[in-house]
Amino acid sequence: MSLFRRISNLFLRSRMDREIDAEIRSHLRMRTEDNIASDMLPDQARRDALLRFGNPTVTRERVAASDAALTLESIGMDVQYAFRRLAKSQGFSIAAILTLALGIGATTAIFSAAYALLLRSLPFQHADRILGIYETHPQIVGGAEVNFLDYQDWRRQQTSFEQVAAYSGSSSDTMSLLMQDHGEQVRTVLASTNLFSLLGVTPLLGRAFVQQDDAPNANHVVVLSDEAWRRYFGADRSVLGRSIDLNSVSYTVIGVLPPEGAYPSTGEFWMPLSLMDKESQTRRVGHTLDVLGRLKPGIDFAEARADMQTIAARLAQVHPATNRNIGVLLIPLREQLVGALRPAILTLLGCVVLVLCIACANVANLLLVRSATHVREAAVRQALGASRLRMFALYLSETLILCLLGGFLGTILAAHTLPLLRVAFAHTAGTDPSLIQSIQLNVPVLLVTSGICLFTAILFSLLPMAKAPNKLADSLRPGDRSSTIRRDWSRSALISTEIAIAIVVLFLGTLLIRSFQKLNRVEPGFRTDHLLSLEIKLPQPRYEDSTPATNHFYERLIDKLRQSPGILSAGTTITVPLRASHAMTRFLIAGAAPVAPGALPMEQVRSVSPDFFHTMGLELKQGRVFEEKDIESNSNFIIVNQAFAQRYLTGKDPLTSSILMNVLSPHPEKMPVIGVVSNAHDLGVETEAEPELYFPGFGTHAVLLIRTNADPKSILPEVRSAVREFDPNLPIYHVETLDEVLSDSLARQKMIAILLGIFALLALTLAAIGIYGVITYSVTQRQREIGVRMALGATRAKILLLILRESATFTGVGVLVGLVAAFASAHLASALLFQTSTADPVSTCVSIFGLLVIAILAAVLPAGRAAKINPVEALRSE
Amino acid sequence: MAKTDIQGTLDLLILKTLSQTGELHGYGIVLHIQTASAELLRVEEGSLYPALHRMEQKGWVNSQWALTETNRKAKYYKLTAVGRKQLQEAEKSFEQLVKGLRAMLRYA
Repeated sequence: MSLFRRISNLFLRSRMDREIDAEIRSHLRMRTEDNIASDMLPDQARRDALLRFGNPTVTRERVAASDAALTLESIGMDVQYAFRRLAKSQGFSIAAILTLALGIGATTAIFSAAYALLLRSLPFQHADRILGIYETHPQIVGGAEVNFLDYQDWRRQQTSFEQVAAYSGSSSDTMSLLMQDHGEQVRTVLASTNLFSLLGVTPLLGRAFVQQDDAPNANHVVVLSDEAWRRYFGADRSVLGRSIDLNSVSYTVIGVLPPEGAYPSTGEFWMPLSLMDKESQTRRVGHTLDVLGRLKPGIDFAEARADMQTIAARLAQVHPATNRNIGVLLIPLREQLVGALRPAILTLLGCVVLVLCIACANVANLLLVRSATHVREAAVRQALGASRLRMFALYLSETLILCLLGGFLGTILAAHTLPLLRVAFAHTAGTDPSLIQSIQLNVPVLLVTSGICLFTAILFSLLPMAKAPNKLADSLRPGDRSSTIRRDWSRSALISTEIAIAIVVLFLGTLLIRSFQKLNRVEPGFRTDHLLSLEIKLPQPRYEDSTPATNHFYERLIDKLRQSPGILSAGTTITVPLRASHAMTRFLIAGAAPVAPGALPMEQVRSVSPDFFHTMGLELKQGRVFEEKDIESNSNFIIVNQAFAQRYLTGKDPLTSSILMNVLSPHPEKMPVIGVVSNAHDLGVETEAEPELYFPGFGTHAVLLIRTNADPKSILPEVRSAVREFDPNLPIYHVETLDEVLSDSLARQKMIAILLGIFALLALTLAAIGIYGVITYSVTQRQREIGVRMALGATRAKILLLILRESATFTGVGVLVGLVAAFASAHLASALLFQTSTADPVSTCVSIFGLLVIAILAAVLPAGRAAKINPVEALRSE
Repeated sequence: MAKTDIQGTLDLLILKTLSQTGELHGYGIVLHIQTASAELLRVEEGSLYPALHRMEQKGWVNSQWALTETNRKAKYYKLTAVGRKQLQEAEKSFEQLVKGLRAMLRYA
């Protein structure tokens, strides 16, 4: 009953008011009648009754207030009133809501990325204890893949890990899956049998590998990713136990992985590691494995590193020829998956939070200005008995409306930005694709967003409370505005902070744009336009590296392609230009002083077709390029690039030099250098042109480069039909133009530069709005003062200067503080910079002048208005 | 520990009044408290109504409009079963308060 009453009271406030009134009236009447009965005059009797009773209105309010449900109604009234107030000052409301929407939207978008990449738990058990274990070599930046025998020794000797597993899964590991009527090139991963148990991944269907699958004569088995299961087998459950044909060998499907459990996430078909080629399993030269280890509980990173380093040192002693320079690098799994994006995300997040701070400072400023114009209203309310809590509720409902609307718009903005962000991040090499796809607006992200909204709203409502006058009488006195307004330091401080933050964002934005410009200006050393790249993998054992069948296939294919009118030339190599590669070899310059086996130099190596140099557009500097007969005769010629000649053949004639190859085998081969070609930034524009060695030859896997005279993709049908002519089931894959490869390799830098550029503009605009608002307010407040000054003979120029001087102070302070902060924070972004100093003078100038211009513009408008004030009107208006 | 707030005391006075008189309007309660306490206690008349309303919310009393002896409309309040129980508790805690106070005073 009581609940029903409360609810009905809520809707029947007026009826209730009437009832309370009636009760009070009846009380007063009875008292008056009693008074008259005891011989009072009627007037006196009523007066006495009222005096005894107290204020009826207050009593009525108190009676109503004792009903909890009515508090809700008063909140409802506050909200209604807040809406009306906001609607009345549309300009203010729209400015505040848009500012917040931009700030919150940008923050939400970037935070979604940070959450997905850096915070969200990985879909593996004990993921925080899983580390990637790499080998290091002085010639290689970062970690390199691991040799099979080294991995076996690690596994046996280590004491820090519960399990150590390995897989071989670079993107070029593919096999041809025979479907009913065509072949599909699928990505394959060779994995040690314990990989999935290390990750704690249980198959969706069937089983994972067991020890016996790895035995040398075991049946060939394969585990599918969820995606491969859907794409190639239509999610058919009966696929378990079925035989499938991969590279003409039959494999039995034993399991299907869950959607999130595929590791590496690019894999489609997993097979036991024992299927790796025998050469790699028996020699300490090839480095092809990725190794993971799960730490034992209680063992920390440093202990594990020490353990592994001991083992590496031991291996270096036992096998000095191969392992002398090889160290160990441990990288946490998340670090490995996030890769190069971590510093980018952190920088973006930092900047976007700064932009949000400016947005909040701006709104706070607007609110302060507004609350100052409402001082008297607030005072009247308090005089009439509004408690501070009630005043707070009023302010809160107003700011809450602003923040929630801003947050709502911001979330919509973020939802539209995320697909763009995913596309931009997707091109970042070294970052796990599935991790990037997990950048979504999900519950935790939305919780944080609403947290931000609530927090800012509460903060904003406290501001006018703090500014509320202590002495009501002062603010109620008419005409209380003194002619000179006390300088409001809190507002100046706020605006200085805003300017300082804007400088930081502007500086970082300019730095990254400059860095990107420099990167963009790097000449890759070859023409990327009209150049198509695609990959071919000839199925073994029908084809093997450098066999006549293989050579014949490629020679005929290249001949056929050359006859096509749209194709100028075609050549093969083993890596896609501009992509990082660890295709390296040890060598020794013939005649050079002998070195210890472990100290042999190591450089990039490519086996290429004769037309490779012409197709790429590399210039021949000396000697000659390869010819077809060099390949057929298996001749041992070598071509080097200029970087190689400079580093290793200085003072010698390259064409009379020879290079010793296969230096670790008992019979090194001496190969004469027949040519020198120009350098190319083969590993990406960010890295310097590396020394490179070129051999003639064709392998089963090749990257086919085709120079066209029209749109490179338009010749694709001709390429397909040419390939099919020589091998009907052979698919081509990884088709892309070199222009695409180039823009992909710049995508991350470009995205960061663009985003930070946007943030910088946003920061600048918001700061301008802030300055404009503060000066405008100050001019309105000082109208009378200006009038007096003008009446006393101040010229318009003097008034203009007076106002500008005010803004000069806080702008100056803001710029100085901002520069210090900018230089300090630039170090955090140094990982993102390409040939750009963290104290780049151009960026410094751009930031200072950009801000000064904006500050002057924002101040001149209201100052000009101040100078136009008519002193007569200004003085009369008070 | 006894509840020692003034509001509790006002509640007690109202509850006691209603238990002694059965059914009464606000003005009557004021008069009754005054006479029953031999003019020692005087309730501020306005403050009675928020208390009555609150007690009604809690279900200690219920009310209905009726005519007085002088044919005026007035709202009459009556104790409920819950109210009666509440009165017992309030009396008990008041006794304790008084006892406590007396002990304090004697000690001093």
